[in-house]
Amino acid sequence: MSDPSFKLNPTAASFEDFGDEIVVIHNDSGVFYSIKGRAIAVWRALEGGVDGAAADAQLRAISAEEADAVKQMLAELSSRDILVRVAEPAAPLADLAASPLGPARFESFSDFDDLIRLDPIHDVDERGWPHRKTEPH
Amino acid sequence: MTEASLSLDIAGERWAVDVPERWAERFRTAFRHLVVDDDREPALRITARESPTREESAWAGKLVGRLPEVDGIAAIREGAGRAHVSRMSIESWDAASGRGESILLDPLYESKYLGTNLLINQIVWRALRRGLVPVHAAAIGNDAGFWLIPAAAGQGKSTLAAAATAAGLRFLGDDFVLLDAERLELHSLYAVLRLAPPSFRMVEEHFGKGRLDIVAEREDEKLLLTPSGADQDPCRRGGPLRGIFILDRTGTVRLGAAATPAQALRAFASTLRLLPSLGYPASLAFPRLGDLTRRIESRILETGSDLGALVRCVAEHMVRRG
Repeated sequence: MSDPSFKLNPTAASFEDFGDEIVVIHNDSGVFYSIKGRAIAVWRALEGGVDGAAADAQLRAISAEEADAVKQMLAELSSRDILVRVAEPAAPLADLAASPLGPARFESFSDFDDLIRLDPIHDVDERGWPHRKTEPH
Repeated sequence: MTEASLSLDIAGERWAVDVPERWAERFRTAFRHLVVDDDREPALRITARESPTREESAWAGKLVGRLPEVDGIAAIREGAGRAHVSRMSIESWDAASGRGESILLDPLYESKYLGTNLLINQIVWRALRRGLVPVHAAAIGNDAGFWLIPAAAGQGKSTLAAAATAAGLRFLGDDFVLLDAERLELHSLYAVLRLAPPSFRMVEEHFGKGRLDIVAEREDEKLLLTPSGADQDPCRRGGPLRGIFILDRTGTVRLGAAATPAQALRAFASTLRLLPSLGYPASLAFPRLGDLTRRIESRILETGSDLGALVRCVAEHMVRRG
């Protein structure tokens, strides 16, 4: 059986590629992600689909800290269905260690993620957003 | 029921809003900078009323709790009508006829607000259709244009906007302003500042009394303020967007480095988190804001308690960039 391949799910998130940073927002939860360095190469490759086994091999070729950042990114994106398994074979990930993009970095900004589901007008108390109404009406 | 009819200019479009007579003063106060008095034909007519029919109450009761199903974005894309239902109100809008209706379900709701909230879904839906993005930000400026201050609640955007206004800069809005990301223009929506009394006292200490009028005091003691004097009225017309200030509370007032487009986009996090709950999909706003941050200068503005220094810093930058 072949190893699974992974691909970005374009309906789950919106993103902007600024060249030196990719900013991603998960459409349902509002969680933001910042992707920098060689993790950008991983993201860009994932747009077309990446072979899982080949990606593992590439992660072994970069520092443990960077590999952890990429693994954290892949796990987080998978948990939000931004990254999904696909049946069709995908391309191997390009040589990460040779990428000139610099150290891989992944940050998640979820300080307001519970508020995205809060109707700022109708579900707040008299103090207004972001004070959630606590008493049942 | 006796009704009052207000004519509003919202981002250059004429709205007629019919409200029960006893609400009229609140609406006039909340939207006083947008109220116009001429015979121009409105593009939209919104009717706000209380006392839902028995059928409407039953319908709302069945739908509350299933809001995602009611708020189908597909419906608006097809030009069909849509509705937002909550325990507080039913708001519906028919895109084809340009008519909307806001029905108050809970009388307590009206007493807690100035009335603006009954229109917010209508405004957001219309903005979506016109290609405008409602941005969670304050906006201040000078004769050359306006600067956006996007920030989540509690980061000091209202205090900065109040201080800048008291110091004589132009005030376009707070909480939400309407952004035309293609033309790089801003339009006023809420020209009422919400400040805690200590922040208001700080503004008065720095810039003197009488620069801001107190419109109302809310139950949480926050003050609703508007700029004093008629010279602020032209702000309803909006103007060009000149830049973005990204607040960073360091304690020392200083205009910091230019922000990267990615940093600027992240400053719109609260916008992107709020809009979906108002029926404006993040997937539409995100690319518009992403593109905006590439086209417009963003500066980090380090803030502290010295409001005088903060406003000087902002004003000098505006003049340099003007």
